[in-house]
Amino acid sequence: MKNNELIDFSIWIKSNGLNSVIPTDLETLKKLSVLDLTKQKLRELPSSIGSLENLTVLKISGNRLKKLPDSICNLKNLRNLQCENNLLEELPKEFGLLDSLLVLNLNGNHLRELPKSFCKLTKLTRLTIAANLLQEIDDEFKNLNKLLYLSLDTNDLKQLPDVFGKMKALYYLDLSYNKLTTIPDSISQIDELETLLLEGNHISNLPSLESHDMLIKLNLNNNELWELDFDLSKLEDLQILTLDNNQLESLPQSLCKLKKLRHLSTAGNLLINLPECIGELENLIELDVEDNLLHSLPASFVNLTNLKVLYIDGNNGVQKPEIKSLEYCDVE
Amino acid sequence: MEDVGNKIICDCGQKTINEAVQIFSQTDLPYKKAKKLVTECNKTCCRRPLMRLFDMIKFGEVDYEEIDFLIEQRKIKDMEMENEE
Repeated sequence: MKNNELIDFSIWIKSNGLNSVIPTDLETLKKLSVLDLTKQKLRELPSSIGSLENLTVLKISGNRLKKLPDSICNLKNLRNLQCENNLLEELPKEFGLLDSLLVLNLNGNHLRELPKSFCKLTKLTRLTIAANLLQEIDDEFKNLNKLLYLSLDTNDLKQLPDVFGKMKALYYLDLSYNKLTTIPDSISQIDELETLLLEGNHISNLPSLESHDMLIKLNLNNNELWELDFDLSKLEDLQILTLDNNQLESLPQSLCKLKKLRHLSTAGNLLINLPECIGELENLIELDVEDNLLHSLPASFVNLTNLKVLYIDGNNGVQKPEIKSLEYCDVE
Repeated sequence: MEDVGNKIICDCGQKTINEAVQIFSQTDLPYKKAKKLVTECNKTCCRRPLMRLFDMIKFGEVDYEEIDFLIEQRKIKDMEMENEE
């Protein structure tokens, strides 16, 4: 039976003109570990692909696939599946049988939901399902507790269940461009989080992020924040903070305690002034306060001796400061 | 790829892919600033095709077919989301 399927797969390779990039002899196919079908204009995959039982890496990104054959779930040794930029509307019901998967990329498809079995992929360390049409995430998603990298950005999520409590090793979390109004409390339990991207949601009330003392990058652009009412100074490793296009009228003094901060961006807010202590940000390299309501910069600004890039245009006549390190300013 | 190059990459700004390529190629600004030169707005519109194009220009070569796919995919998704709402 397996041999017949291998023969079928070999025929499929030839009939799609892929025999210059993929071997067709049965012995090689049987042992095949990596199959790269990226950008081959494929509209479907044959059921016989399920006979490649030694496959560990399958790359099918950049095709026109609307579905995957059920037999793909037979690839029990598959560790890495790259299926970005296709037209998938659903995954096979038994997708969770691919329980050796460590890396899964489903970015840029048309998935509205994930099958129940998806949460059996408990070995996953890297999961990206950005730019789909997901409307909800199952509670059982919490079982994916070996994740190091998770991207759910650009979906249609309005809320998330508390699934992050056991994802202790997660260092990268991207929830940008959804319709979230709040984020689950369990995010505060992600001990190792270094990057948190929440851009482009409808968040007006941010829970305290004080527990994230390992956070390096925090992006809250394009939300509905009026204030930051937690102690920013607890984010002692923070290097990049972006708060563009919110409704902030002021920045907290605790911001000045972020000694490692290198990039700060608050463009498109309603800031009337910057904290007097801003000069304490001794490692700041780039500052973007374009399109606010500033009249001037605080006196301590001249103490930003590492500042190289400054955007101040679109305010109320703010002038370029005299700082020797400055290499670019959008106002002359 | 000439035809694809003449396709509008984003409704905001009404620039073609070719015009966006030219703009991105001629600026040293980071993406979020360079993007405004193409879309002439402060919104985060057309993010996937624009950001991908920006990266292609700065770090590799332009794959017009992929940009075309991302533009079309965005249109389909916008329509689907509109229908749902």
